[in-house]
Amino acid sequence: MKKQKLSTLPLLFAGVALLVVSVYGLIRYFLLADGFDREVLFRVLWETVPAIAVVLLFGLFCLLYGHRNVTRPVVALKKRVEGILKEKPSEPVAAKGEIGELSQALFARQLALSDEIAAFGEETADKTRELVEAELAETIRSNGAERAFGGLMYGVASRRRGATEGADITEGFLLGKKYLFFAIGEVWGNGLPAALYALRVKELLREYVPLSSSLQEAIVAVNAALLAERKELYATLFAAVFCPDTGELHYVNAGQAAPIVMGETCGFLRLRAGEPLGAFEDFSVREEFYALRPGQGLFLYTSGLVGAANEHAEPYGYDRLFAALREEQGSALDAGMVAEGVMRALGAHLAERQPKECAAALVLWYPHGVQRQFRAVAEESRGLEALLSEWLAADPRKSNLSAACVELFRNITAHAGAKTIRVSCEREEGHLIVRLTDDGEPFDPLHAAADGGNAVGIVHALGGEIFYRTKQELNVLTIRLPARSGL
Amino acid sequence: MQITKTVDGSAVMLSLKGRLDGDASLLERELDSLGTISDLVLDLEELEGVTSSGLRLFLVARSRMNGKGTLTLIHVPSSVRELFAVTGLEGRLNIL
Repeated sequence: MKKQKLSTLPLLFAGVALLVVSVYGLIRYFLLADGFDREVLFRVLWETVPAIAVVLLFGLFCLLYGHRNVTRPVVALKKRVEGILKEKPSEPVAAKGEIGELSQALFARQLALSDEIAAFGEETADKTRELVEAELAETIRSNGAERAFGGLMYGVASRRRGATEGADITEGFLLGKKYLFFAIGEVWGNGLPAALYALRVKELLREYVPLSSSLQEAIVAVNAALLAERKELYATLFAAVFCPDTGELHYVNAGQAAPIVMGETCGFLRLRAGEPLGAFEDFSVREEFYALRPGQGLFLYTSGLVGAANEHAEPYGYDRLFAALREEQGSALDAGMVAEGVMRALGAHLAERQPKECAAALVLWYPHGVQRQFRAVAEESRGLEALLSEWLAADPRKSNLSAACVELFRNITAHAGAKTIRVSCEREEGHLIVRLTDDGEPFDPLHAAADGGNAVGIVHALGGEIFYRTKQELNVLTIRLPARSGL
Repeated sequence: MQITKTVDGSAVMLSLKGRLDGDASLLERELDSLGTISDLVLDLEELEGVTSSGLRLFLVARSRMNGKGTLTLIHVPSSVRELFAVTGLEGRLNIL
C-alpha cells in the first residue's frame, strides 16, 4: 500500500505541472493571437513543449529517486521489522540518510534481541536440564538404596532430598546359598554423572564378583573396566563376603574409611588403606579377614554421614555416631533398626539443614541363634514349630515352648493385622530368648486374657517370663527362659 | 573457593582458599586451561576442607600433568593429609 502511494506522488506532481504549463500555453496563445494564427501557435508551442518535457523528466526523476531511496528501503524495512518479530537476522537495508540509520539501528537491535532470546533460551534450557538431571540423580540414588536381607543386612541412604555432591554405592546380594556379598562406597563427582557412575560400579560388581575366584580378583577387574571407560570419575569401595554360618568375613578396601565393629564395645575394623577405583592402572587391593562373633555387627558408612554438618558447621562426627550405635546396639532387633536409628540421630543433629553431600549406611547384623521371617498367616505356624524344634533339639521343654509360641503367633495373625512376623531364637547370658516381632497395629496378647492366657501360663510354668513392648512401630513379644531347665 | 594463579615461565602455581567441594568447578576450569606447562604446584595452605568431590580434582590435576610435567602439593593441612592417607592418595601425589 505504501509503495503504491509513493510511486504515484511524482506522477501526480508531473501531471499538475503539465496542466499548469498547458493552461499557461492556452492563455498565452489567446492573448497573442486573434483567431487561428499559425505563427503564434508555433511560438507558444516552442515555449511550452520544452517546459512540458522538463516537467516530465523531472517527474521521471522523482519517480526513480523515490523508488530507489524511499519505496525500496521502506519495503525492505518492513520486511526487516517482520524478520525481527520472527527472529530471522539477515543483512541491514542498504540505504542512506535517516532510513539507512534507522535500518542500521533496527538491524543492531534485531541482533541484540536475537542474542538475548538465544541466551535466555540457553539459560532456561540449562536450568531445566540441571533440574531434570538433579531429579534423575535423586531417583537413581534413592532407588535401591534401601536393601534388606531378612534382618541380617540393611542398607539405607539419607532421605533428605537435594544433596548434589557425590553418589553413594550400597550393594548386596547372595553368592550361592552360603555367602552374602555386600559393599559400600562413594563416587567422587557430582549430580547425574556421579549417580550413573555409581550404577555402573554396582553393575560391574554384579558381573565380576560371582565369576571371580576371589574378592581381590573381582575388585581389580572392576577397576580395569572403569579405567577403560575413562570418565574422570573415581569411586571408593569397601567390599566384603560374609558367611552367616561361621561369621567369617573376607574384605577388601579401595579407599573407604574403616567400618565399625559393633558389639559390647564399638571399634574400627582393622583395615588397610586402599586406592580409589577408576584411577590407577597398577591398582591393587589385598584381601583381609575377620571373624565376627555372634552378637557383633558391622556398621559401614560413607564420608557424607560423619561429615554432615549442622547449621553451626558442626559435623556429625564419630563421637555422635558411636553414641548412636551404642544406643541402638542395646535395643535394636535387627540390622534395619540400627541403620534407621543412626539415620534418625543424624536427622536430629542436622535439624532443618540439608547437607550437599550424600550420606548412606549399611549394617551387617550377626545375632546369636537363628532368625527367620514368616508371613503373618496361621498356616505359617508350622514353620515356627519346625524352627523351634530344630533349635531346641533335645531340650525337654521343646513341645511346651513350641505350643506357647504357636499360640502367640496365631493370636498375632488373628488380631494385629500384621504382614510379617520375625522370629529370633538366641542363647544369651544363661537364658534362652525367643522373640516375635510383627509389623501390625499395637497389640499386646498378654493383656487380652482369652488370647494370651495359655501361653503366659505355659511360660511361667517353665520358670520363664514373657513381656511385650513396642519398638519403632513394631510389636515385640519376648519370652525368656533359664538356659538349663529345672524339669 | 578462591584461586590465585601465579605463572613463572612454564610453571604455574594455583593457591586454593576455602573449601574444595563439588562447587569447585573453578579449579577444574583452571586445570582445563593450563595448556602446556612443565610444573603445576597446588598451594593448599588456606584450604579449609575437602569433600570426596574435591578429592577427585587432585586426581584430575594429576591426570592433566601425566606425561607432561610434575604436580606438586605444598602446605598441605594435616586434616587433608589424613584424608589422602585414608583414600590411598598419599602415595600417588607428590606432597612437600
